[in-house]
Formats: sequence, C-alpha cells, structure tokens
Amino acid sequence: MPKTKEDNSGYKVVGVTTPTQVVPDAEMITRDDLEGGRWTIRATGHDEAKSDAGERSMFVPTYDDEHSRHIRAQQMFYAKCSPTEKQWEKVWGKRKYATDRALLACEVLRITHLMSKAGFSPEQHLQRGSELLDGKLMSQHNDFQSVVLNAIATKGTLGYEPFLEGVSQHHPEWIPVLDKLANEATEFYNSVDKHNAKCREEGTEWRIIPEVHATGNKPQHNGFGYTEKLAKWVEQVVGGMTEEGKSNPSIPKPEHAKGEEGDEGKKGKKGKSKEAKALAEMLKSLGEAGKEQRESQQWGRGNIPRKGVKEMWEELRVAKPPLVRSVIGAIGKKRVASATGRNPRRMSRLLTDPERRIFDRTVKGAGGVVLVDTSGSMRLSADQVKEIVLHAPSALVAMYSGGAYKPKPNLWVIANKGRMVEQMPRPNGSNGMDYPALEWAVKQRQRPSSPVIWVSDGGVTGRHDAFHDDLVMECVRLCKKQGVYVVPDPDTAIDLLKRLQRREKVTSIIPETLSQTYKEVTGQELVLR
Amino acid sequence: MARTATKVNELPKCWQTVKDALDAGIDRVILYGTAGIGKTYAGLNYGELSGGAHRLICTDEMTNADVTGCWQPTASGSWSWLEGAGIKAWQGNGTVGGRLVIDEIDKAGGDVFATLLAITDTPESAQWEHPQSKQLIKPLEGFSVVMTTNVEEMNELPMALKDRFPVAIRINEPHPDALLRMSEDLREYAKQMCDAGERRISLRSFYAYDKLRKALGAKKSAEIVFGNRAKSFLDAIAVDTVKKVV
Repeated sequence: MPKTKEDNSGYKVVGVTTPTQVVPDAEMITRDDLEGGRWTIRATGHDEAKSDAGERSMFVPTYDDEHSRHIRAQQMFYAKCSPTEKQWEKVWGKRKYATDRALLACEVLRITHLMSKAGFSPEQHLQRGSELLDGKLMSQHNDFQSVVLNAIATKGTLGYEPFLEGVSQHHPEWIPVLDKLANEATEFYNSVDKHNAKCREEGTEWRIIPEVHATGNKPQHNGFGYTEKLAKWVEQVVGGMTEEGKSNPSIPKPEHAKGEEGDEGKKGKKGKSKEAKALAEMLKSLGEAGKEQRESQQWGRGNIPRKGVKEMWEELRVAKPPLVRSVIGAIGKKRVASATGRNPRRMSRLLTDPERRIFDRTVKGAGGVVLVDTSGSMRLSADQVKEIVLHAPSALVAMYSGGAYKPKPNLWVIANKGRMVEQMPRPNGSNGMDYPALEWAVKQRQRPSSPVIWVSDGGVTGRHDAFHDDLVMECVRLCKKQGVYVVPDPDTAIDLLKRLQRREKVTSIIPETLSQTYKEVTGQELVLR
Repeated sequence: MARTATKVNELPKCWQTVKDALDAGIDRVILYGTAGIGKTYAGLNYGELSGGAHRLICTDEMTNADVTGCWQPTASGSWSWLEGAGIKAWQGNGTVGGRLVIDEIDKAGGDVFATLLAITDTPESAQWEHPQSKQLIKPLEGFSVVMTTNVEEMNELPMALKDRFPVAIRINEPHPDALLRMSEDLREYAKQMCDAGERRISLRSFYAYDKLRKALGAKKSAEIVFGNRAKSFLDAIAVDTVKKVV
C-alpha cells in the first residue's frame, strides 16, 4: 500500500504534487528605448497576466503547459514591443490618432502577429476562454463597435472562432464584415514585413522602414506607430467610434432576436433588406478601403507621423474685447403674452384675444454658439461677419483665425448675450486651430440643446497653415459627436440662423473640402446634423 | 534586435570605473556582484602590477597559513617558514609592493578574517614579525588589495572591512573580453543574464550552449545545458529576435 503524507493536523494529503514552475527569462529582452535589468516576475492566473517593461514587472501563469507558455510569450512580446506606462502617458496617449480602445485592440493583434512570426502558435493555444460569451453578449446588446474591436483583438488566436460563433447567435449577418475587417487588419501588419523583405531581396535597404516590432525612441521609429495607424483606419472605416462606446447610426441595426417575432418581427423583416444592403455596402467598401489604405502608405520614411494630432494644432488664445453695442433680435430672451402674471401690460388683449392674455411671460432664447472661420480662404468682410452677428442676437458669436505669434490672440468673442463689439477685430489670415476653436465653442454652449454653428469652408489647417487629413477628420469627428451644424459661407449661415429662429428643422450644408476628405479617408459619405 | 550586437570594444561603465580607480593608484578596492563575470580577472590584471599579483581564495576551512605563512620541513630535516599570499604581496618584488587579490572574503572564518584585516590595514599601522628571521615586515610602497565578493549589497559586509576599503564598485556586467569568447548573437543575452538575480545564467552555461548548438542544434543543446529551463530560454530568444529558433 502506498504511503501518504500526513500533516500536523492529522489529515492525509493524497495525490498532491508541486507543479513544475516555468518562469520567463524576461531579462533577455532587449529594447532600443530602455535599458536592461532585473525583472520582478510573479505567478498569476491566466486572465490576470500583465507586464510593464518600464517597471520591469511581469505577472504570468507559470504552469508548464502550452496555453500558459503562450500567455507568457504574449506578455514577453508586450514587454519587448509595447509602450511602457510612462511612454503612454508622455507620448502615445497624447497623440489622439485613435481612441484608447481601438489602440488596445490593434496592439493585441500586433502582438499576435509577432508571436506567429516568432514560431508560436497562438491560433492553437492562445485564448481567454470567455470569447464565446463575450461575442454573444456584445451582439445581443447590439454593440457593433466592441464586436469589431474584439474581432480584431482575437484574430489569429484560438479565441477568434468562438468569438464569431458567439456573435453569430444574434447577428450572423455581421460575420462576413468582421472577418473581412480582421483579415484586412492582419494584412496591414503583413504588408510592412513584405515591404521590408522585398527591400532586402532587391538590395534597396535604404527603403527599409521600421519593423513591426521596432522600439525606437522617437514615434516615427517605433512599431507602435503601425498600431496607431491601424486603429485610426479601423475607426474611420467603422465610422466615428467614440470613447464612450456610443452606437453609430450608420452601423446596421440589430436583427430582432428569435422568439420575439410578431409585429416587431415584421418590422425586422422590412428593415432587414436595408440592413443587408448596408452590410453589403460596408463589406464592399471594406475591401476597397483596406486596399487603398495599404496602397496609400507608399511605405517610405515619415510613414509613422512624428507628431500627434494634438501637437499639430496651434495653441488657442481667446480674446474678449468689450461688448459695447446692443443687438436687438428675436432669437434671445423675449416677452410673450400670457394669461397669468403680476402686471397686466397688454390690456388691449382683453378685447382682441379670445384667451385674454393680458400679462407678459419671458421666454428664454435658444442661445447657441456661432463660430466663424475668418481665415483668408473664407474671404469674409467685416460687414459679412457683422451681418451674422445681427442674425444671432442672443448667441455667443466668436471668430477665429490663426497664424499669429504668441501672445496675439487667435479667437475673439465678438458678441454675447445681446451685445457686440464696436469694431470687428482684424483676423490673422490662416486657420491653424479649427479643432481647438470648435472644442472651445462646444464648451461655451449655454445648454446641451443649444445649437453650435460652425461657419467654415472646411479648409482646416494646423500649425504653419499645413493641411492634413487627420486634422480634418478630427474636426469632423467632433462635429458628428457634438451635433455641430456646419455651413460653408455667411449667406447659408444667416439662412440657417433665420430658420432656427423660426424653429424650423435645419441641417448642415457640408463644405466640399470636408465631405471630400471624409470620403477619401473612409470611403463613406459624410452625414452631419 | 539592435542592441544585441554588443559593442565588445567598449568598456562597460562598471569596468571603466575599476580601471580608472586602479590606474589612478587607489590601493584598496572591493569589487562586488554576481559570480563568474571577471572580478578576479580585473584584480589580477588591471593597474600597476610590477610587484606581482597574489591570489587568496577564502573558504571556511582555510587558516592563517594561507595569509601569513606556515612552517614546513626542509630536505635537510630542519624547518623553514613558507610565506603566505598576504606577506608575499606586501613584499612584492622587493622594491615595489605587489597586489593581493582576496576572493570571497565573506566566506573566511573569524581568525582568518581578523588576520586579513591586519594585512589590509593602512601601511602605517600594518606590520608583522617574521617567525624565522624575527624581522619586522611592513608593506612596501605600491602594495594594493582588490577584494572580490559575490554579495549583492554592500551592507552585507562587516563594517571593519568597509572602513578599510573606501572604494566599492558593483560589477553588473561581464568583462567584454569574456564575452568575446562566444558567438555574437548570444553576447547580449549572456550580459543580461549574468545579473538576473535568482534567474541568473552563468557565462559558463552560455559557452557550453554556444559550443553544443553548433553540433546538436539549439533545442537539444538548450535541453542539455539548461534542463527544465530550456523552453523558456528558447522562447525568450524567439521573442527577442522575432524569429523561430531552429
């Protein structure tokens, strides 16, 4: 009879062995941007693995099996290639080419890509275990954005198929789109490898661009720049994903769940053809957009931008000149007849008004913010700006124009609360800070429902009056998210203001530059409020 | 893998400090840090060595005989005094004092430790009477001591020792000459793993792996040299090079 161990309490311990512990050799990892040194490595559960190369700490499962080994390899790759927490705070987090969620998903894909390249088999051994449920819940709640990002994050791993299976339980029609998108994303990283391999083969090493795993000190020499590029593309293709994860109206609506048919089921059928059409269009545009995205890279130096979007804008400097003139108008605070009140001011209504509304009631205006682009391309005269002000009496009206040296202002509040400036400020000439100005305008609105109107030809530029798609897209995203009305010239602005006063339904008249750039970048038509 | 191509001609910071200190004439230096990275080599080779260098390896079992000397029978049936490494180093070449390299002083017993303190004391205080000639011996000008120890923290050494050795240098990288003996692709890893604490891999293991892999391939060689650790070793190389290890 085999002997069993017995501890002090008298209990017999049967069949208990100490498992073999495998600790990763994280010290062997080299990076261009960090010094080597000792690592603190601790054992943890499969779903709690994490690492930070900056702090040289790693939490990984230490069991001797393939699944644990692949999680260790994944964390080793994070330690090898991903930005440290400090680098994130200092550099990458501030660049704002894409949201954190999208960056995270695309970074997971980059790591999976590198794992496969290094001879690991993530498609056979790497999974969280909760993918099926994740897919099911995300699709059940119609969270298309999360579904897309998760599909990208799980692509190339064992968890990809279960995730799609989960999604297909509520939205089988999403699968081809997800698959296409994930394939295009994988192909994006492959294309960098292919380009460099071709350069080596042809002996044109000078054309070699940073590798996918590069860890250069500057962003343009760092492989995370590809993650950033991919994340930007994914967001653009899928359409204006937000940090808050709000659903996008252009995303196909949910198919009604089985068992909930009836009246809703009928509606679902009616909507299904529209959804199918939208999906088919999206699927088509995905392929084109992905191909264009890769072709447009032209894989050369400067492929990864040196600066973040935020750094490309001029600094906003707001001036508030004295508002000395009164603007009388109807959009603001006004008195209307009322049947109740303290002082009867409209006695004549006793005879003329069947409801005898002899009192006054104050009605607050809708308020609003009008932001006028007074850059050179708008060719606005002081009178035209004044005309806009006169048609927006209770609104805050500001004009902006960049290109001036500090401390000269580049945005002026020219009217507010029924008062305006005596003389219009002289604009500086260029744009330079459209986004910061828009951001400022959105913050100024009196109530969440107050309209924000941006009068601009869409000729968005950054520092030194430089044009860049990313700058335009950032403005577009803000306009979409905040429901900003965009009009290209003073006439349409005045028309829109008049219609707003009459409480009519209004829509943006999108400047051509904005719609064209948006179409080029996303392959889709731009729709604004 | 940009940093893997270790610049072997460039002296790492810690080694440069050792060289500078010894070249400048500092005569009491402690070199501490992980084992097998060339501390003793530096002691025996760096600085002014015209008086010769004498090595003393400390163990629990050693006696003062190793430090100051001992009586030994001669062929004529009499006894003569055989000088130990400490006294030899004091006398050097007769004109200039030599170098005493004391390895792993933390492992010496109490008696020997006390004698070593006396031997390594300042030249003004240090003296020893020769048992045979009754001559009072003092360290000659130029006598220097390099002490090596594998302790990781200087706090672990006794205060008396630290007082005598004002310059203590932590060696955290192998000497470049030692790295030159292995293939270029392994040098950076060998350098990193020498100072990896409890996960340290010695230079000797790297030499063995390097030699074996030429005949047996990476996988089998790693299994032979690193045992259970072979997988994580090869995985780390695969991750760092982003290439499959063949």
